[in-house]
Amino acid sequence: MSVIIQENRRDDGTVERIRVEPRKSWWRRYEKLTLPITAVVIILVVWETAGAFALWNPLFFSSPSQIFQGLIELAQGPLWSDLAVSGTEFLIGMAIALVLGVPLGILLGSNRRLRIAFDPIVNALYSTPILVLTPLLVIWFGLGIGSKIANVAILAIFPVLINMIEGVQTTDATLIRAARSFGARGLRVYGDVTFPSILPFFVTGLRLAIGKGMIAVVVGEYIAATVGIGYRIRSDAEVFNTPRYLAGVVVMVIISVIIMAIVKVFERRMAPWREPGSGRE
Amino acid sequence: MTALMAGMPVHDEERGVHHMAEAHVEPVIRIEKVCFGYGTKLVIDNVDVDIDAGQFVSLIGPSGCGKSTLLAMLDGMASPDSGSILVNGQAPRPGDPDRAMVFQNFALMPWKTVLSNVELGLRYRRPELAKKGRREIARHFLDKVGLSSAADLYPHNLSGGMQQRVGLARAFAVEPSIMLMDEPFGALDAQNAEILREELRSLVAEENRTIVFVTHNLDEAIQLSDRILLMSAGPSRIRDDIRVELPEVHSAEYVSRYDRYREHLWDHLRHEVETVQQREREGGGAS
Repeated sequence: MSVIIQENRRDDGTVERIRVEPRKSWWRRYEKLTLPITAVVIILVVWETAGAFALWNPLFFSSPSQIFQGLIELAQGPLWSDLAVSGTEFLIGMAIALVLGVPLGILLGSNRRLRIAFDPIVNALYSTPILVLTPLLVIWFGLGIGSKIANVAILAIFPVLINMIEGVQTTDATLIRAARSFGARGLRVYGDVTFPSILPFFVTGLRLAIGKGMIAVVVGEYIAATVGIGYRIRSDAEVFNTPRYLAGVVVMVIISVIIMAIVKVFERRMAPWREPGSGRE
Repeated sequence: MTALMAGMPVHDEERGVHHMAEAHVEPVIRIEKVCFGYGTKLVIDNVDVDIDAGQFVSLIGPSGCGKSTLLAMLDGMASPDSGSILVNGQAPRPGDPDRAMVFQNFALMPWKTVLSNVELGLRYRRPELAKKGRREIARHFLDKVGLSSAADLYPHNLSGGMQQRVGLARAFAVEPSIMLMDEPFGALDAQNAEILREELRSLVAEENRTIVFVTHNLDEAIQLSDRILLMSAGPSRIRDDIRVELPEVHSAEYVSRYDRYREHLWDHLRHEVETVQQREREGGGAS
């Protein structure tokens, strides 16, 4: 595995030296995939083996094969209707959070006095675990999807709002000045400079909002509902159907991973000029 | 003034020299008794300057002396607290078609390609042009700064020197009669700055443009300018107003003249810089 310096003699007698690196094996070339997959496989094997030796009471914990059976059971049963309800709650709630959060954030970011007035309130609410309001929302909006939509909207709006405020404020003043100097006026300055430069912040806000929104759906359903993935996890847990309960958790993990992967692609597509991850966490 | 400067048209405030007394045409830029400040701090103190068409004028002075502020006012980004500024006979407003600005940190839109960045001014100032027409003009000026092959790249793909070439092309593309340059080579390494200075000189030599050039680099000022305005430590006034007349670059005369300009300017500039340092040591809060 060592580097070779190769000497080539050209026709005119001069020597050209080329550095040759040996080709890496496919395992090392794709190590960003091969290593984590190996780790997961090892954990699953150890877990399954430990389960076979009955190291724990099956009432309290489960093994991968049993969870997989629970997953099949879920998929043949209520999973899809649960996901449809949870998904609807999530999407409507996110839409409300974006429709309110984006313009409000831009307004607060642009107007210094408004920002001074509302900054303490926004920050206080952002750092409060608003999930404690869930019972109140159930009283207001009922056991159905209304209370979960409200839950998602309230939790997801703050990361959007705060990142939009931050984005507008950190828009490079020289860029605005350059646009004005070259003749941009009024709303065109917004459209041509402010909007593109807050895009990365928007995507960061969106990513955080998605995380919060998923928690909001599950907790909302967990506390009071008759359908939905959060309700399913709770009801399986209550009857000690541990494999099916853990299968529900696995479904949540899979969905999170898929959504975050999509957001990352989106992040790179929307702002190819910038490193991802700018914004306020 | 020193005897050293005899034979050179050196003007300074104390002697009450009439600015550009030899000029008969109306000056392109007229700065009259301008004062400006922030809070209770006066930054620009009664500055009085006329600039003629086609002059390359450098503003030089210690850091934070208000050179860039004065330039921003010429671009209409701020109005004087008292006194008046006239550019081509009118109070400047942002975006006027007679001017273009080149920024120290390039100020290129990172989400636009190099070509779209060069088009920026054309989009706002010449809305009658179709996209194709704009592109053609932008390509022409991009070609002039030697960057045709980079048209579709983004600014972050380019080095600082290349980015400032784009900044120059963007400014030249709107064909302004006046160019305002705010330490355009200040963020570049010495070698790239040298090359860009040479390029700027040849770009400027082709046409009769008025250029106001802010710098803290003495050599840059002497090499490029027809006239150098030396500003004092804040609140800034015009301390010295020098006409630069240099012979052919490779003559012996060039070197000796160049050195005399430099020595003279440095004498004054050193005094101003030392004033700033003195104030900092005394903790007077003067920044």
